[in-house]
Amino acid sequence: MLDGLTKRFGDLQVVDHLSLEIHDREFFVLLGPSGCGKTTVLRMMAGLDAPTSGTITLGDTVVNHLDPRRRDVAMVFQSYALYPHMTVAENIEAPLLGRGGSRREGRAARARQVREAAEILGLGELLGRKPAALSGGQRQRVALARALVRRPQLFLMDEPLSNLDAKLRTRTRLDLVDLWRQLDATIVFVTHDQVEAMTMATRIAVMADGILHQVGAPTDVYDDPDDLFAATFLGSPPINVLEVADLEPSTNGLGPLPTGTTQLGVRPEHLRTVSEDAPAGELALLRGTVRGREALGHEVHVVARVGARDVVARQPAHDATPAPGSPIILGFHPSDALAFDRDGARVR
Amino acid sequence: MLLPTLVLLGVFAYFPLTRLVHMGLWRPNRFGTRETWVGPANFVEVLTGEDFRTGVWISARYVLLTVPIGLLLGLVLALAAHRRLKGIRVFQTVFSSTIASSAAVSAVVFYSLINPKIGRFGDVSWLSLADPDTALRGVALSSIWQNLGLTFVIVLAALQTVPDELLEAAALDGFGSVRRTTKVVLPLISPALAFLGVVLMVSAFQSFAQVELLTGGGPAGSTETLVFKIFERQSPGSISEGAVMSIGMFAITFVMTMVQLTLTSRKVHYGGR
Repeated sequence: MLDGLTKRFGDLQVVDHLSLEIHDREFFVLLGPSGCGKTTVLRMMAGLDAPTSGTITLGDTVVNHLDPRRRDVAMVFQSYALYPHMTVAENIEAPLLGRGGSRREGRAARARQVREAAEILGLGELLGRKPAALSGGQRQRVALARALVRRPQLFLMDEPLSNLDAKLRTRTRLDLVDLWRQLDATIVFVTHDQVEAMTMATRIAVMADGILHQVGAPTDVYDDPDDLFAATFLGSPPINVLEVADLEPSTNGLGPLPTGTTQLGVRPEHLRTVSEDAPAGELALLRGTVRGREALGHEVHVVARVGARDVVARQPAHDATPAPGSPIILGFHPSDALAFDRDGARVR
Repeated sequence: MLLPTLVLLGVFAYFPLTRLVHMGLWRPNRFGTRETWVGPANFVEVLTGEDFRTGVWISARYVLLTVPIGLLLGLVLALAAHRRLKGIRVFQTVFSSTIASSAAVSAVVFYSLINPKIGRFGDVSWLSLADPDTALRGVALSSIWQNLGLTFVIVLAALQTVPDELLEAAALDGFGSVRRTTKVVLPLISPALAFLGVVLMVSAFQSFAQVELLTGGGPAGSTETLVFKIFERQSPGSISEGAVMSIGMFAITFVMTMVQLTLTSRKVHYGGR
C-alpha cells in the first residue's frame, strides 16, 4: 500500500502524492508513458530510492526505512541485471546466499531450490552457462528465476518484456500470467505498453507526469475511463477525440449531451461507414473524406478527414471502402460516445 | 598497412635485440677497438654468476615490496572515492595526481623525506636508506607513491563501468556492501586489476631511476637492482656482460608476463562466456 507517496529530484516532481492499495495475489500493472514516474514508484517500493514524503506499507509494516534486503521483495530489472561473471545456476542462487542462507541452509537445500526455480522456467539445460551465452528470452527467464527462487512476498517487474522481440513478447505475456497463477504471488508490473497492461493485469493504474489518473480492471478503464488521458492511453488505434463545436448540429443526431461536454471520445471499433441513402437510424453521423486505409489482414483501419482532424474507424477486413479522396459518412451510436469537459475530465 | 609497425618494431625492438645478442657473443677490448669471440660460454658464465643472481633477487624483492601494496592501496582509494558525493572530485584529483609526477620527482620528494641526514623522517628505522637491511623499503615506498595515481585512475575507471543496476540487484539479493564488493565489483573489474598487476610488476622489475637517485645502489650494494647492475656495465670491458644480463632480464620479464596472463585469464572475467 502506498500513501501520499512523493518523490522529488531537486526541483523535479517525479511522483506526486500517489496513493494506491495493491491487494494480495494481484497482478497489478503501473501503466504510463516513459518518464511518468512509474519506475520511480517501483524503485521506492524496492527500497532503491527513498521517497521524499509519504509511506510505503508492505503487509502491516511500514518499510520506508528498511533496507532493500529486509523488505522481502524481488525485482526483475529491465536490463535483467544478471551477474555476467556467474553461471545461470549461481545467478539464481545469489538471493539465497545473500540472506545469510549459506549458514542457515545447507548447500543441498539451496541446490534443490535453484533446480526447482530453473525447472519452472525451463532453464534446466542452461544452468552451467554464463549470461553472455544466452539469448534475450533465456536471460529474461533467468532474471525471473532469480526473483522467484526465494519466494518473496512481492515481485516488482520493471518492463521485463521490453527487450524481447514482438513474437517472443506475446508468448511471454501468457507465460508470465501462468507463472503468476502457479506461484500464487503478488506482482507489480511496470510498462508503457497498453497491450501488456490490458492482457495481463487484474488491475491497472494509469499514470502520467507523476500523477495517478485511474485505477481499475483493464476492461473497466477501457470502457469507462475517468479522463481523456486514460481514454487515449488505452486502445490501439487510440480513441477518436471530437470537438463538439466542430460537429454539424444538423447531422450529428446526438441528442442532449451532459452539461459541460466539450469533447467526445469515440473508439474506432464503434464507427462504421454509412451509405448516403441508407437510413441512419439512431446513429450520429460524421461527414468527411477518405484519407487512406490501412489493411492489417484481419481488419482495416479507415482514416477519414473530418473537419480539422483525422478519425479512424475499424472495419472488417473485406468490407468495401471508398477510395482515398472520396466522401465518406461514419456513424456511431450516441451511447458509445464518451463525454469529456474542457479539462479532459469525464462528464457522465 | 603493416609496414610502419614493422619498421618501428624493427628499428626499436628487433635490431637492438640482435645487436645485444651480438654484443653478448663478442667481447670488445678495453678501448672498444677490437672484438674477440667469447661465444655462448659467456652467456652461461654471466647468467649463473653471483652478480646476475643477486640482481634478480633484489629486483624480485623490489617487485614483492611494491606491487601487492601498491595495488591494494590504489584499489582501496578508488573504492573510497567512487561515490556520488559533493566535492569527491577534489579527492579524485588529489589521489590521481601522482600520475603527473615522474620517477625523478617522486625520488626527490622521498629523498627530502627519508634521507638519513636531511629527511623529516630520516630517523624512521624500518625504512632507513642508510641501513642495507631496510634501504630497499625506502626506495619501494617512493615507487608505490609514484604508481598510486596510475593504479587509482585505472581502478576508478573500471569501477565506473560496473552498471548501477547490478549493484542494486545485489542489494535486493541481500548482499551487504562488503559482499557486493567482493562478489560483484571485484570480479567485474578483474581485467583492470590483472592489467595493472602485469604493468606494475614489469615496471617494478625494471625500475632504475628511483634507485639511482635515492641510494645509487647502496648501501653496500643492497639496492642494486638488475637494471642498476646492467647500467653499471657500459664500459667496453664490461658491456658484453651487460648485454647478456639484459637478455636475461628480457627473458625473465617475458616469462613473468606470460605466467601472469595465463594464470589470470583463468580467473579473470572478460565479459565473455
